[in-house]
Amino acid sequence: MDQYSSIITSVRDRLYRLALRVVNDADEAEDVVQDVLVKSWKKRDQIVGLDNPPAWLMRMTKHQAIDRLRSAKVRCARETEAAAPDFVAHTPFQITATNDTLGHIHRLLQQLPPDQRSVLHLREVEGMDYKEIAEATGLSLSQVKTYLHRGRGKLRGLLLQQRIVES
Amino acid sequence: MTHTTAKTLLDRYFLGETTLEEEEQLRAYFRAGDIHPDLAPYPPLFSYWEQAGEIVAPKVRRPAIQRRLPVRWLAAVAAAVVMLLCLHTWFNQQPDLSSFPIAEAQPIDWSKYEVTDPEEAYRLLRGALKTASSEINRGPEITIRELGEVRRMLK
Repeated sequence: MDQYSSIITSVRDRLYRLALRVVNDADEAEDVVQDVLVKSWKKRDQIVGLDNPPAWLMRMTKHQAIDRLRSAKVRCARETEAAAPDFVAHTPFQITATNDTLGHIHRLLQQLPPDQRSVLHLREVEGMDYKEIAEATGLSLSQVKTYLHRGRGKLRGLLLQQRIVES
Repeated sequence: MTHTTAKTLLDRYFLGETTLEEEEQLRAYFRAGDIHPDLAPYPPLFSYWEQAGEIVAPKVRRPAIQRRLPVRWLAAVAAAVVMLLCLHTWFNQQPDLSSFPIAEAQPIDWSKYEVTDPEEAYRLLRGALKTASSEINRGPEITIRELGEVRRMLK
C-alpha cells in the first residue's frame, strides 16, 4: 500500500502531462489520470511487483488518453483548437514575448499523430531515454527513434519556414 | 559551450542523434541567452519544452466526475419498485365491507298513527272483529277439505 502510494505520488504529474499532451484538454486529461489511478488501484499488488511500474502506468495513460481522444467530444474540441490551448494556458509563460511562437509550436505538435506526439513529449519534457520511452509507449526502439527524428524535423521546418525569432 | 559546438549539437539533435546529456547542454545554451544569430529561431522550441515540464496535475479533484451509471440495474430496480407500488395501491383500493354505505333504519314515530278519536277507535275495532269472525272458520274448512282428499285417496 505505502509502496503503491509512493509510486503514484512520484508519477502522477508525469501521467497528467502525458495525458494533456495527447488529449489537449485539461479536464479530459484529469479524467484520464483519474481513470488510470482507479484501474491501477485494482491491480496495485501486481503493479508494485513490476520491474518498472511508472512505465506501465504511463503506457496505460497513453492508451487511455488515445481512447478518450477518439471519442466524439474530444474530436470536436480538437476541431476548435484555434482558441488558446489549455496546455499553454496552464503554464506560467512569458506571454508577451513568445505567445505566438509557442502557440505555433503547440499547434504543430497537436497535428502530429498521438504516438509521435507522445514520443516527443516523453523525450523533451520527461527526459526519458529511448528504452524507457519504448517501455512507456509500447512502441519498438526503432519506432521511437523514427518518431523523434520526424517530429523534431517537422518542428525545425516550422521554425525555419516562419522565421520565428524570440524577441 | 561555443556557438560552433551548439550548432553541431543542434544539427545532431534534429537528426535524433544526441544523448540526453547533450540535449541538456543545448537547453543550458539557449537558457543562457547569448545565442548566435544563426540559432535565433530555436530558443522558443526549448523554451516551450521547459514550460511544458512545469505543468503539474491539479491538487484538488474537480467535483462530480461523471461516471457511467448502471442503467440496466437502475431500470430493473425502478420497474420492481413501480410494480410493488401498483400492487400495494391495488390491494389498498379493495373496499372494506364495513365501508359500504348501509341505510340506517330510522325509528318510526308511531305516535302520529295513534287513534285518539273514540268513535274512530270503535269503528276500527268493529271492523277488526268482523274480519276476525268471518275469517275464523276458514282454517277448519281448509283442514276438513284436505282430510276429505286424503280419505278419498286412501279408498
